[in-house]
Amino acid sequence: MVNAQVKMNFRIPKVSVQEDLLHIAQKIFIPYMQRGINRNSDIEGGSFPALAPSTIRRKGHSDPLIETGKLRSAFRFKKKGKLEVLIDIKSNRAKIGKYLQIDGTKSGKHFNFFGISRKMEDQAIMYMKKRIEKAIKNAK
Amino acid sequence: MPNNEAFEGLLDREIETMRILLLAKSSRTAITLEEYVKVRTLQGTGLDVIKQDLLTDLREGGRIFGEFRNSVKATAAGSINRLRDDAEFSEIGVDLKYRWSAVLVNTCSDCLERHGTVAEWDEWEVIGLPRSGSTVCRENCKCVLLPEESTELAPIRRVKK
Repeated sequence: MVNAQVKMNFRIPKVSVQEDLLHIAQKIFIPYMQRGINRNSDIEGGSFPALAPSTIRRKGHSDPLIETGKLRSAFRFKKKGKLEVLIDIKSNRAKIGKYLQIDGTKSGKHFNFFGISRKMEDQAIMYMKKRIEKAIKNAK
Repeated sequence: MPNNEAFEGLLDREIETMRILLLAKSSRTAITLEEYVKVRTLQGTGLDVIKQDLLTDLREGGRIFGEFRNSVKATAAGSINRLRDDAEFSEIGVDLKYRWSAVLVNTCSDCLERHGTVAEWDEWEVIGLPRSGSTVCRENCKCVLLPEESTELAPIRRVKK
């Protein structure tokens, strides 16, 4: 008696999420960082360091990261290759962004306005959960 | 005469420090979520099971969504520390390139696919380190990351002592 065994050797390809990452960059991460600048709160929800009285006098207000509005509108995102999405700051504000967040001001203040916070991560995961539920619903 | 190329290089490097790279590597044959659901449905899997599998994978950072989860992960102490860490790493040379080296012990398909791939350490953190759950073999992974220069291309054969 001859036994023939047919093995299922089909491997499901991986799932591409680049389009989802584009959505997350455009609709979740960048608006979150921009809202932070508007509300004077860093990405972790804390307050930005207070400005010196002389700076407030010069600017005419106490909003730390708002002067011309250029920084707020400098966030951008783009596809990088076929797999990645890059969020960065336009070159005309990258230097000042680095000065404010990484190097720190002359008085040693750091303005943590750029990055991924726990809340941003949660929102990205929530978005993907909804995507899964929608894909299942559409398949019914 | 100013060296424009050098200046652009410096500018690029500064821009590079203020960036978030959302990376979700997948093979060239990657399919959409909808196509994934369709393929599994055609294989006879129920929609409730597929949904549960996908949600579990997303929650646990498994094979399908592991890289996605790493990509959108917040850093423990916020981004400023992450960026500082990056700066410190570059000082001590953690920006060296590492090659994924698979071993010939029940090597899973993900590890075989990664074998020989070269990336910087922070890129591997996003893609998923060995035993981080980003491959089919999950925490049973026997692969190692070795500095690019000192790595042999052939998979390492482990032998019993």
